[in-house]
Amino acid sequence: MPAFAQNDVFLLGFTGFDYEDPNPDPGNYLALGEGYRALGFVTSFGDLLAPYTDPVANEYTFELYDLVVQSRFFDGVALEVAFSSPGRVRYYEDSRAGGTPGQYGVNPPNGTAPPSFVDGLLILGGHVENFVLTYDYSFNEGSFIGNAHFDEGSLLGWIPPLRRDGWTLGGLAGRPNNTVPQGYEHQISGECRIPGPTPATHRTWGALKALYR
Amino acid sequence: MKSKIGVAALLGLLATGLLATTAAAQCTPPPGYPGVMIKFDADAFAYETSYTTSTFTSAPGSMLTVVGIVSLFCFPFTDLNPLDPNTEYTFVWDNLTSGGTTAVPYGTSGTRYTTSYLGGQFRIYAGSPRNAPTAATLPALPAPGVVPDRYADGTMILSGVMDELTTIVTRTSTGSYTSSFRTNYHCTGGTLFNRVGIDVNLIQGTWCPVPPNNPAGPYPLGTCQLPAGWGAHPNGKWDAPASVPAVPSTWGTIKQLYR
Repeated sequence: MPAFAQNDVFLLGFTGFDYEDPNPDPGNYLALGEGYRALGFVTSFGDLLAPYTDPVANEYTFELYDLVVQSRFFDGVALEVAFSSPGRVRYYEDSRAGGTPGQYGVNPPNGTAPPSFVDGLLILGGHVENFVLTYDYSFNEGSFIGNAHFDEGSLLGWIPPLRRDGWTLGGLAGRPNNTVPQGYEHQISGECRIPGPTPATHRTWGALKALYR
Repeated sequence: MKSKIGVAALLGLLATGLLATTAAAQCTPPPGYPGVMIKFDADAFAYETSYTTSTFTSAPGSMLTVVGIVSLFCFPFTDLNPLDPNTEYTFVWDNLTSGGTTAVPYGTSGTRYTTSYLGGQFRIYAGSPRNAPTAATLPALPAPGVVPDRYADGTMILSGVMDELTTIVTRTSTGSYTSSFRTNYHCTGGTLFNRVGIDVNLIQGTWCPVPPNNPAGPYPLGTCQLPAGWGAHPNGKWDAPASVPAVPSTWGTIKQLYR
């Protein structure tokens, strides 16, 4: 079976919930100037980081924040929101033995969210640009996409410098959804992917000489 | 007084479901809400019998199949280890019949591609050895004897049916792509069926499509390069049915909180 070399590779997967903060216009989802945040758990790591993480001993969480609505289109069914850059995403490692389990609670921000999702060791973080969120109210589903540029964290060194620009994609499921806690907007399932190595082209001396003939 | 406060605090913790087992903490649900039950991440892939990658279009009557490898189990399956070197947990969705794709303008200059599929079924297997293709070893299609076969070997631990499954791929006004899928499910069988019962909940996530010019590239932001024959890379999860009781705990776990 031939192996397939993907151009981009899976860095990590996650689940969680999103909410608006600040939310000065509660009747108007993601109005201009409002903030978008998401938090939750990392559900798996790809080959780059898996050797340096331990999901049995530790809990891994994330927070996406500092995203402010810059433009908004809504036709009564379809919503498209673009955010001013940069937002920020951070991933944390917290010991199961001595740490604080992530707890969503209700009506975030609250006493446990985000605090219980942003404690422990910062393992990876970066700024997020070109973030766009789309949502279709006829199907109660949508998603977001954004460029992630990693620049901090204890595991940053395990990602080669030329592969620290990736992108994050999240699928959104809104109500009716009995899993979404009060005060949160959507359930999220998604992943972060990063560009794969660009293979060098194998050449022969003969081919090189031919360039100068 | 101190002891009353302690008991009250303990009962409060119990009532709010804060006492997840450590094994389940990676997917601790909010108190009183059903949580994620099964998650799949890097190794899930979709293909169908009549799909045009250049236009994200599924023809009416096209049959969709999704195969994948489970990346995380939550309650009530926390005793299953998706990384077990000797056992692989895989799944297959099939019998999904396309109603065709509609493409409509979206936002200020984008396009939204929506496809609905009916008749879906799913099965989850525990098989040995680990032999299903991953993202790194995914073959081009067709791959007789490999896809979907290696995702459908072993003991069927759970099966079920889906309501209408809807995928949405959106080329946003900025040129990047967003994508999602959503359906309701309920279980009908499998050796672990008695853990979940027949109540309904969600399967939902992202539906990263192969780029319009797959596999040559370049690859617009939000698309996933896959070998020839594949249509999308889903990432998502089954939520636990609402009837599945809250994550259980033990007195030992409770005591640990106060040490």
